[in-house]
Amino acid sequence: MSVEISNQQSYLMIKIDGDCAANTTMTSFSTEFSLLMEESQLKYAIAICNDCSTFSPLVTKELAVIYKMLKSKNGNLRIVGANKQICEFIKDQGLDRILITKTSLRGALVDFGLVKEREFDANFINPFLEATQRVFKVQCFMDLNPAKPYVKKNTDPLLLGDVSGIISINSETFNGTLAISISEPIFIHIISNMLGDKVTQIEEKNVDLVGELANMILGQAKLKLLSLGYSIQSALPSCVWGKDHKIKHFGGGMCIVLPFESPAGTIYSEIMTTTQKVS
Amino acid sequence: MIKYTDKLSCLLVDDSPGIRQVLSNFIEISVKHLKPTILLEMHQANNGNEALEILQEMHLDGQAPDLIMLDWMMPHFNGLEFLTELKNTSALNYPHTRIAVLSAESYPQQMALMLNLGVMQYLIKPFAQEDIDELLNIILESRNAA
Repeated sequence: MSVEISNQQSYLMIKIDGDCAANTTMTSFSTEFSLLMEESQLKYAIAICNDCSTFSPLVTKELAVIYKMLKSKNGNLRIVGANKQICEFIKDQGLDRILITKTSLRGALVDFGLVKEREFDANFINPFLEATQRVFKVQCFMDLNPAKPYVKKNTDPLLLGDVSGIISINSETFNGTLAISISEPIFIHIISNMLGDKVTQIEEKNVDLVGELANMILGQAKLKLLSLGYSIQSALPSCVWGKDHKIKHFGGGMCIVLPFESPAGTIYSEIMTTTQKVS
Repeated sequence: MIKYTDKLSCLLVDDSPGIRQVLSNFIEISVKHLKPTILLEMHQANNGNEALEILQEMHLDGQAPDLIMLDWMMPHFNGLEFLTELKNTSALNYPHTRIAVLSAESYPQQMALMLNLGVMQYLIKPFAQEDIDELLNIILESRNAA
């Protein structure tokens, strides 16, 4: 195993790599941490263990020592990227209330108050723009050109198309929904492309494809969002269909519309937050 | 008239009938292109539970699919539950059956978990004809080598 401690301006990062099982040799890293903490005058630390499979009692002991140092300065420690085995081990050691785990770096930073509470992160837009274009190109053989995103007004229709695929976006610091909304003629064009056959009408057996498109877009955007500190949980998509379908996203908060121009017409991607503020 | 010399059996497990149709079309195109003399037999299941039912029916006739294309996120009985159940049922573990996961999930941890459960390949949606060509090529080559 290896442990690397670095100064990240507003917090100290402890990167733990490799196998930390009981029989692995390990040198104390709390001493090095103590020196760096004193030198930097920082009071928050995040232990990253994405590439670590197991913890030994020695590792948790070292982290507990670090926790005590930080607490004495009114700071705190969070553990990010711990797998199920590590989480259970921490719990078995009776340390889960002080060695608190988070699924994302952003979640830890929000806990420390180092990241502002906000309803909508503008960085959210790009991963969805790129993901939507890629999914439509690969799966629907369709090039999309993004138009200017805008905030949906209360007077706008609930969903902008006739067929919509909706999927939840749930993370520690952001909750909302993604909806892909498409007019009936464009959707018929899209499914004809996808199925390689001329489709003349929307039916039960093909309408679920709009939900699948939403699922694929979220799947593609997730990796980029992870690098921004949003660890998005898996969800199942649903679809709504019918002229003037009056279904609201499950969020009900602010809604950003990402319109895309295609040779067949405009396709809308909508990202809506929940009404509650995220922290 | 094509004279079929062999058979390739595939089981598609996905809760989306639309995706199963797209996948089925892609596999048909791949097989026609890679080995036109193979007769393609396609089975479809809506979730892991239905897939196990089909596998047991095939097992009664001493048969098993050459390829199982499995979705990860499915209601009722998902890809992980299916794989765990299949692994624990030795009678259904035919050595020639290859499993590929086709999922919108792209987190490396989830991909690693599936690969540890004996999945041969993990394809991320959206998927192109080339991805299926590549997969089928591996399956057909491994059959030739056996």
